[in-house]
Amino acid sequence: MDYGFINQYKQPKKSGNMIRDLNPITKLNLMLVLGLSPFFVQNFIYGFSMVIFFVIVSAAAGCFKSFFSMYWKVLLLFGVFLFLVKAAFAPGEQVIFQLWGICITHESIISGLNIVSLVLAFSGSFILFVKITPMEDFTYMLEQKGVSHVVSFVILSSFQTITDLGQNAQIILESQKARGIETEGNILQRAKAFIPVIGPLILNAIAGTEEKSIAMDARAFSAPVEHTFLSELPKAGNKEKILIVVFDLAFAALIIGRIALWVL
Amino acid sequence: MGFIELKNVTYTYPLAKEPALRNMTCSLERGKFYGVIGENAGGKTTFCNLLRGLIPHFYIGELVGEATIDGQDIREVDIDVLSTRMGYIFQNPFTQISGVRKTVFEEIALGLENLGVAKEEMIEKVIEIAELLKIENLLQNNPNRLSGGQRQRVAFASIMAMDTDVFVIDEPTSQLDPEGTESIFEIIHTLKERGKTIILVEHKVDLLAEYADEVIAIQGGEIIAEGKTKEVLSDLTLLERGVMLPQSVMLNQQLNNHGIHLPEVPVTKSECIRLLAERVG
Repeated sequence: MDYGFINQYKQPKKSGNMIRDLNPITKLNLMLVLGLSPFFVQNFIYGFSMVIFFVIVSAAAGCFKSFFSMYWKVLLLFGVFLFLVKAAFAPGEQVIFQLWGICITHESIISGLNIVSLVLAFSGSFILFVKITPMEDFTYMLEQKGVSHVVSFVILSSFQTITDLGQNAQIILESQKARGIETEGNILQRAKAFIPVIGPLILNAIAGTEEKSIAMDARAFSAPVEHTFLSELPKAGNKEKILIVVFDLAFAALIIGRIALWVL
Repeated sequence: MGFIELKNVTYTYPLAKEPALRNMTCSLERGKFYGVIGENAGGKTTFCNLLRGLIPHFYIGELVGEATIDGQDIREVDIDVLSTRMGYIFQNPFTQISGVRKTVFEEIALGLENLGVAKEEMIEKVIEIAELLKIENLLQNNPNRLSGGQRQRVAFASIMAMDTDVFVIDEPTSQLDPEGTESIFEIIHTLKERGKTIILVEHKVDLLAEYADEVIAIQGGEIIAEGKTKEVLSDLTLLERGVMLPQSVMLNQQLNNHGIHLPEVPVTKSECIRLLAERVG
């Protein structure tokens, strides 16, 4: 029996990394403030600065690899695509390049950069939050704040379902492959193999739900008593609370300033 | 009066034309180990669902007759309270894991968290159960990445940690290899030693013959035989009704066909060896 492992449950959960050990609600608050601030600053330089900031924070939190492996897909898919569409079709006066219906102007490039910076900043903050916050910690804090354990289970279970569906899809694809069906190759071939799998995959997931709910009932999930917790998180310290207040006040000032600029 | 009493119980699933349980009458006592046998789709799982209160609370359907648990009508039982007194383990090891806990230790503790057990006590109970079921080596593993047999043992551990009085266990070994089956029966034997009431649906009649106090045979939603294990499992008429009997009973029948008669029908392997040894020497 590894008592070192067991003893970790006797203490509030800590990883030793300052960023990861922030309270999940603090992280959520910071994610929203930092992710939404570019919408009010309305400057792509600020937006891209936030993107760089999130990359640095991910490295400091020790999750750069997992953060960036997901983030670059967003950068490529949404960033480049949105920029190209905006740059090519947004209206503007100072024409740089024109070909058939495409008209790239100085204004359209600025507009493209602006929208891309907003999307990337918000998605960056969200992905970073997911990467540095274990969902069980987040739902634990939600329950501490009075959210029903049913809601917290639904959140956790939904995240797990994504993983389960991926694994089940892989199993079905492998069995298809064993039957001689081509599951590898170009995108079209992969799509041909994958699309017929979607139906059984979803039906299996639905069929499993009934047994899953019985299994949870067997664990006294709805027992009429107050639940306790094996893993607990440390309470947010004063420094953390001050940090949140400062960020929230700055964000409030930003919103007020932006509204004032619109009105005046 | 038994702990669980059924009198002329008939149950039909929603939208079904035929009842899944027909005119069932039986009485189950505390602290006994009941084996439930019968052909596939004969109503064994429905019988378990009824005993566990899932019928009529989860599966609404039409329930006719008198069904009581500890003297209380099953229709009036609070299923949430019942879950704290009756453990339920079923055959699919892959859907019994909550999927929301990162380690087996946390998975076993989940039921205790739901029961509001204090943290220190919770940790002690998980350690105790893990040692009892010899799964200490699994405690740090991710429950979602265990094999079928390991998951089934973790499911048992999770329910055993909750220390319920009654265990309804539906074909726990149907997806396991012989080694996994043996370890599950060892766990069930431990439960029996602890004085728990066990209702086990199982096709492996040889193992039931070893452990069960009483056997209930179900066919077509009806109880066709009920009583002491030896009495029921030595009843050759059950063979004609599609119910498997222990190998020792079959061997005895073959011996009878060849004119060799043992003083009694052996239902367990050890009994068979003893009687044969007496006969030979």
